[in-house]
Amino acid sequence: MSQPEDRPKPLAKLRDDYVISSASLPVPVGSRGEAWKVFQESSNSIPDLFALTGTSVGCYRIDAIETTRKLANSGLFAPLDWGVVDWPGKEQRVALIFPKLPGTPLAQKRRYSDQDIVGTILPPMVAMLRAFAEAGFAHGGLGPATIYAGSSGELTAGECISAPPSALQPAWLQTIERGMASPFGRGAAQIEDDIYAVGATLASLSLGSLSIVELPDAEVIALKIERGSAGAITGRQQLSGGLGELIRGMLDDDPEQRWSLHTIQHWIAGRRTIGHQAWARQKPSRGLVVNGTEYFDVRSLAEAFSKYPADAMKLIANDELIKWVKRTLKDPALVSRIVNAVNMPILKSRSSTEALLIARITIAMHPAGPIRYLGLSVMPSGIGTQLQKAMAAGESPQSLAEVISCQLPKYWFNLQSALANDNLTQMKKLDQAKIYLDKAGSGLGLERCLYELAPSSPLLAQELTSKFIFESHALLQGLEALSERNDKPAFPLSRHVAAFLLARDTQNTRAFGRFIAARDPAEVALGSLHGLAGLQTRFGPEKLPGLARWLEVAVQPYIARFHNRDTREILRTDLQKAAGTGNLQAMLNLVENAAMMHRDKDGFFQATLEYERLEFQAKGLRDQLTPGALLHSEAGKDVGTIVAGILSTAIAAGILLLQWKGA
Amino acid sequence: MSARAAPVPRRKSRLRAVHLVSLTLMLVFSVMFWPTAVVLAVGMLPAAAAYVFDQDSKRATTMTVALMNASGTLPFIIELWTKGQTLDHAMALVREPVTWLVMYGAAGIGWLICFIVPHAVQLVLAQRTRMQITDIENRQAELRQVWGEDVRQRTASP
Repeated sequence: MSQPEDRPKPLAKLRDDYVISSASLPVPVGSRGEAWKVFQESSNSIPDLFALTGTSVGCYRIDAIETTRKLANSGLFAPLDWGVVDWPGKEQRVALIFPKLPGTPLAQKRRYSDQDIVGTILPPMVAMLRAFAEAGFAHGGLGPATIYAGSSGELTAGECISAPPSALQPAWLQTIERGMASPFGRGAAQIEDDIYAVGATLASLSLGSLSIVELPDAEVIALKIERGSAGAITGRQQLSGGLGELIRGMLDDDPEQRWSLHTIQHWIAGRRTIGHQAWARQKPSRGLVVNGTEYFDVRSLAEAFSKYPADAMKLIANDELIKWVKRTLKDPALVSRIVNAVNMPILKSRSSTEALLIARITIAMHPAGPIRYLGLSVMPSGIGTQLQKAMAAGESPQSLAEVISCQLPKYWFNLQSALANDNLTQMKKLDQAKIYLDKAGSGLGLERCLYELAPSSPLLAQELTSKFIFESHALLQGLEALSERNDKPAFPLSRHVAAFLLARDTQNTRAFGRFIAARDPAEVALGSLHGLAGLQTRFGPEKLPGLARWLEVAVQPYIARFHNRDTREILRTDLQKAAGTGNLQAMLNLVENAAMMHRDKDGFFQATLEYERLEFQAKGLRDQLTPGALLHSEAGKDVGTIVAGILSTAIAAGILLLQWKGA
Repeated sequence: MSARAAPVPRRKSRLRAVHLVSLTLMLVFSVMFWPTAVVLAVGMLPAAAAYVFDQDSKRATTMTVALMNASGTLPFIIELWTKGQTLDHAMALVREPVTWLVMYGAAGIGWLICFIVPHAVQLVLAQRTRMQITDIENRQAELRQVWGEDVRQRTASP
């Protein structure tokens, strides 16, 4: 342990305890981001901690952190803590705090004897894999450089949180199918993938140096297809009899034939009679030429079809493909799949028709392989992380959207010989994603697909890129900070934020129901207030004055729906007061007042009736004033008679009075 | 129909009877007060003319002219009765231009009333109607101000 005087300059702090220093460290193999020395505030001496930090472009397996912690005692290098830290430059980063690396990578020792492998490496590895399998977890990044041997010989698998499963794993440690997919599109790993990686690792440890390690990924895959994984990895070197049997079993390219943990344990226990002979496929007499290269295997042909679609279309159009499969491969099931793929109706533009046709045919040719569409190569369970990577890096997610909307994953699942429970769940998720994609409303679309398919994705809203928001309650703080900025958008809930909330905060879905269906900005504003007020009530903080003021402006269209001017004025004044307190629920209670809305509607109806009645009255009176109307002529004559009567009476009375006086 | 039509001839016949009685009374009056009848016959000529020209069922013009005409004739009748009701006195009065001026001037005032008063009444009532319209418009403006322009939705033309 170092002394406190040696402490380097701090960069960031996690939970007032872990201080990430400016002393950088080399990033361990199999990890992503930047590594820094860490010291604890509460400790006088500096423990050998380190942090892995990264930006929003990184695809962290946040959903696996808890599981890895539980597996820490079973030989998995798990983070001590994690969180989002404020980083110099007014941005945030994810920080994973790890203890000291648990030893040296197995790869550091050039060669292990069979006794070492069978006696000291294999049993703890199998125990570790057993613990993984029991926890429903797979590492997805095992290899000689990511498995550490401690001072007392104990083995620990390196961390697997800083990148998606298999994203950083070399192709030679992966099955052919996963190796064909793009690094971020390999999807969830299975325990069978870890068994394969351990098999390849054991081969490497046993043989010392492997020529395949130096080859580019594409050549590794081609070699594995040609010779089988075991043959490709060992090359011309010979494994000893017993160990060779084990490694060939673990590296079998057929997942159903690949040795299970149970079989391996039997083998360790000395029951080596369940021998397995991996056999290379017989090379057909004639291949199919694509772009000048002759392909003999449908798996490599599928890969070539996706790379050279023009050549592929020619072979499909003149039935060369089907003829070759029928005559050379003699696989009726494969022929049937390809014929069905060719004959399926496609209702799209010509260019996407070809891409879709090729995608279906490549799936039909190699059902276990990735979905290949317009340069994409992705496993169905990897669509989420691939989408997250594309959107975080600002790349176009159009092809991924088309993969979902054309239901290629559904086609892929339909062609699998057996579906695991994970696959069924994923299939349902992707079906639902298509429904989201078909709807244009806020909170739906591709953004919703992202947050549903990539449960570990942080919020990728443009306006909040400097913030790292993984959970819905952290959103309020992010929006509060954003509300202080002059360049904030007019509306607090962008499409990304709405989709994130709907996907992450399932308790809020009902409250957001109105929001999903809304076309009217007033309804959207009320829905936003609903969602955010719900979050504040459940998670706090009590006061969000900035966000409240922002929402106060945003809900003005809803207040404008009240017909009565006085009601609007009262509501605006009260809302302003409530916004001043920063309590969103109080604002919601004011705005969403059913009794007030009813009174307003009723009053408005009465007012329209009164207005109509007055209009009729005014029309009648105006008609009386028209020049042609005989207005009051009879009354005028009568008045004239009365005037004459009064006048004549007065005159007569006057005359009689004068006469009487004169007399 | 027939039950309703029956009163009309009865009313006409009653009117005719009233006219007959009136004429008889006037004849008796003329015979009994011959000089007065002469002054009245000359002095009330404008009223008679009004009766002839007045087509109105209520005979309001006739009444107006007759009342004023009568008030113009009344002083001379009184004078005739006070000085002695003889034909000479009656003729002397009739021969005086002032008599004619007063009696016919009064009738003229009656005609003036007939022309002026209905117009004046019309002006007053029109003004009152305008004030009512203004009141209505003010109330409508108030409704629009309180409830917004949408309050016109039931009356606005499509």
